[in-house]
Amino acid sequence: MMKDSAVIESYITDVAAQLPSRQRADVAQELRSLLTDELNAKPHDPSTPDAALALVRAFGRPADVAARYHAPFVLIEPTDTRGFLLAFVVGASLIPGSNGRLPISLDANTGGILLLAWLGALLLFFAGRSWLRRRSPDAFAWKPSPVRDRDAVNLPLQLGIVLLCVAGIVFYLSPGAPISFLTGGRVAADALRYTEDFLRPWRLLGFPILLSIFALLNAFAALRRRWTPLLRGLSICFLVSAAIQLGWHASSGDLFTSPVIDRSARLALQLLGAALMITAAIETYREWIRIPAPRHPGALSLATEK
Amino acid sequence: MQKAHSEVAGRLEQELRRGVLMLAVLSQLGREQYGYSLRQLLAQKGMAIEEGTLYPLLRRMEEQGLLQSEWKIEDGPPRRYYKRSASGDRVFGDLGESWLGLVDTIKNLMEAGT
Repeated sequence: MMKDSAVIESYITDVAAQLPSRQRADVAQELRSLLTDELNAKPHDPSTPDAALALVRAFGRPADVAARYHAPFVLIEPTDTRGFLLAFVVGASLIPGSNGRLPISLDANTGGILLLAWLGALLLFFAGRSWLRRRSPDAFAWKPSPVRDRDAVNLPLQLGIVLLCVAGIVFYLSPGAPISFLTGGRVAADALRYTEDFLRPWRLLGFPILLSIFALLNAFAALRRRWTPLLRGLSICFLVSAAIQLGWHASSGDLFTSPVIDRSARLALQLLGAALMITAAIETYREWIRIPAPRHPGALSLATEK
Repeated sequence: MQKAHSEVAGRLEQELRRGVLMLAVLSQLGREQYGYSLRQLLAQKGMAIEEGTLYPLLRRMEEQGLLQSEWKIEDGPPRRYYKRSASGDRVFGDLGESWLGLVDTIKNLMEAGT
C-alpha cells in the first residue's frame, strides 16, 4: 500500500510535468510543503493513504492545477473549435470517393492520406492564427461588415435563374441541337446521343423535374418579392437532391453513346454536383446562424442617426 | 426546485467571493505568511478559500509583481513566505478604495430595489 508521502509525491510529479521547465522545480517544492502542511493539520489514520488521496483529489486534477499556475499552451482556441470541426467536415466531404466510375476518384489509401493532410493543414492554419492573435490582438480586432437582407429578392437575378433553369432543362433533354448550334456545326448533333439506358424515364427525368421545381421556387419568390424560411428550406433541399442526382449520373452507367463525350459529360456532372453540394452547405450554414430581423422598425433607433 | 435554487445561489456566492479573493489576500499580506498559515488566517476571519485556488493565486500575484516571496525555515520544514510588495501596497490601496465604493453603490442599488 502506498504511503501518504508517495501519494503526494506522485501527485506533485503529475502537476509539475505539465508546467514550463522554469517553474517546475519551484512549484513542486512549494506544493510539497503546502500539501504536507495541509495533511499534517488534518486528523487522519497514517496506516492508509486515504486522507492524502482525499486531499490531492480536492486540490484538483493535476492538469487543472497546472493550468492555474500557468496558462496552458493551446493549439486551437476553444472559441475556434466549432469553426475547426465545420471546416474539417466540409473539406472531408469534398474528398472524391473510391467509385471507379467517377471521372475524379481516389483509391481508399489516397483518400485516407488526403483526409489526414486536410486535418494537418487545418491544424496548422488554426494554430498559426491563434498564435498570431495572441501576439498582435489589435490586428484581429473585430471589424463590422454590411449585413445583407437575405430575404430580399434580387429581381434580375431571380429571373436570370428561372431562364437558366429553362435553358438547362432544354439542354439536358436534348443536348445535341444546342451544342451543334453553339459550335457552328463542328460537333454534329448525332454525336451527343444518350444511351438507351440513360433514356429510361426514371434516369433521364429526375434532374429536369428538380430544375423545374427550382425555377418555380425562384419565380414564386420573385412574385412575392421576398424569400421566406420555407422557400429557402426548399431551395436547400433542391440543391442537395440535384447534387445527389448528378453524382448518381456521373458514377453509374453510360450517359452518351460516344465514350469521349460520355467521360467529359460525367466529369462535368461530377464537378457541378460538388459545386451544388458546397452551395447547399454554405446556405445551410447561413440559415443556421441566421438571426430574426428586429420585430419593430424602431428597435435599433440610435439618437445619432436621427 | 428548492435544491436548484440553493445550488444557483451557492454558485453565485462563489463567483462573488472569487472576485474579491485578490483583495482579501492582499489585505492579509502586510505581514509575511506562508500558504497554509494564510489560508488559516483568512478562514478564521470568515474568508475560507480552497487550497487549490489560493496557492496558485499566490504565485500568479507574485508574477504580477503584487507579492514578493522567499523560502525560510522557521519552526518546521522550509516554507515559502509571501508579503505584499511596494507595487502590491499601491494596488491594495487603489483596489480597497474601489471595493468600498462598489459596496456603497451596491448597497444603494439594493435599498432602491427593495
